[in-house]
Amino acid sequence: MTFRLTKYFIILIICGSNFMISKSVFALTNNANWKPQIVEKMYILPPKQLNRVLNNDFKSSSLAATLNNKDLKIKTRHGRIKELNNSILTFDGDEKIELQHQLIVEKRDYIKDMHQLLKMKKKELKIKKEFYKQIENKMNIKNVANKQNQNMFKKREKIIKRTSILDDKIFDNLLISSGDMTKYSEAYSKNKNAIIILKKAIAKHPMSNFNDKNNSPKDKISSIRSYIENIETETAIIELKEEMLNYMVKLVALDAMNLAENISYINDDNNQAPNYNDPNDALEFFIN
Amino acid sequence: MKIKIMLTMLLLLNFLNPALATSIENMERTRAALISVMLDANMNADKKQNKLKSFKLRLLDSERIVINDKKIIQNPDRYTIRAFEEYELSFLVHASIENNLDISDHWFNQMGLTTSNLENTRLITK
Repeated sequence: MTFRLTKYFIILIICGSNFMISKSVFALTNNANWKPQIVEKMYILPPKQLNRVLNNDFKSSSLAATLNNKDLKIKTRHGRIKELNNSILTFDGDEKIELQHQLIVEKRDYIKDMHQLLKMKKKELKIKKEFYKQIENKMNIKNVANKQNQNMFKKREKIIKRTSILDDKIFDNLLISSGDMTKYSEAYSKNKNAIIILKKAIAKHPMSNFNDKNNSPKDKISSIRSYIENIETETAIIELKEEMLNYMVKLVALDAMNLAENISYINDDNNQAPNYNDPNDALEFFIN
Repeated sequence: MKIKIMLTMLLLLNFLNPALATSIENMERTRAALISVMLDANMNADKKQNKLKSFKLRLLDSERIVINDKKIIQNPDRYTIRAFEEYELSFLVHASIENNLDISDHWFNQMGLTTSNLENTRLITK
């Protein structure tokens, strides 16, 4: 009776595992989420820093927390499967069957957790990709606008260069000779000096060159594109892992079927024991 | 009737669209005032000198504001484009100091109204 129940239970595992996996994954991926909370101004950051900010933002999301939990769960399941595999070799009979059954259940749960983990990782990569795509589009739009204003930009730069060297001359020729300064002129000379000091400090800063390396619009776009490419590669790897997981599911199902077959074979053996429901078997009792 | 409605609409639109003075507009206004003082033949020399001094300082401020206005090159209008194309005539204070000339001399020079030019004109018309 117990064997028959176990058999049905194992068959139930095989049939139900796929359904359960997909259903639980759907529920889980719906609950755990991540919406990058990055303000518009962050978009101007160099790609490397932007990536760091994005990763930090992800770490504080519910999706990251669920991913970490799942990671720990998988780690413990991994250890348990290893333990059960070793124990099976030391037992026989009903205990061995019980351990085999436990192993199948544990494998099923491992696959379920791994499937969820991969789904969540895929979700994370998808959100990251969308984020970078958004930045790429914004940069493309900005570049088009910049190209249109390039001529004006060059002219303005030229004028700034021409006028910046005139400040001392203006001060000597105009402001001193006129005797009084306007409110703006006073503030201008004060702030101009402060700006010059700050610019020098920026040029001296060790991180200043680091930022300049990838700060041209072309470099920035190519860096963003390389991030997108990396994300696509990672997604492809996850898809490969999912395929591998499908084979694992098949193998567990085959193991379960094998166990069910073994149990039914033992059950049949028990059923084939001599029964005494035929009067012919009792004939000898009466003829003596 | 239709014309009346249209005129009312236009008036309303005019009121709803407040005139936003950009930095370039302020500069142009000050420049125009300075040039009109410069060309005013009825003003006495002292008054003209004082007015020009004050306008020069105001124009210097306006020019600096325009030069430091980063937003000015985003979707520039035709006035901005022209001002940047004709630096010598638009940024009068800076250009005159750069050329070591008085602002009036600089403007007359740029307009082609130099002494020799005028003398040549007189010779041709004779």
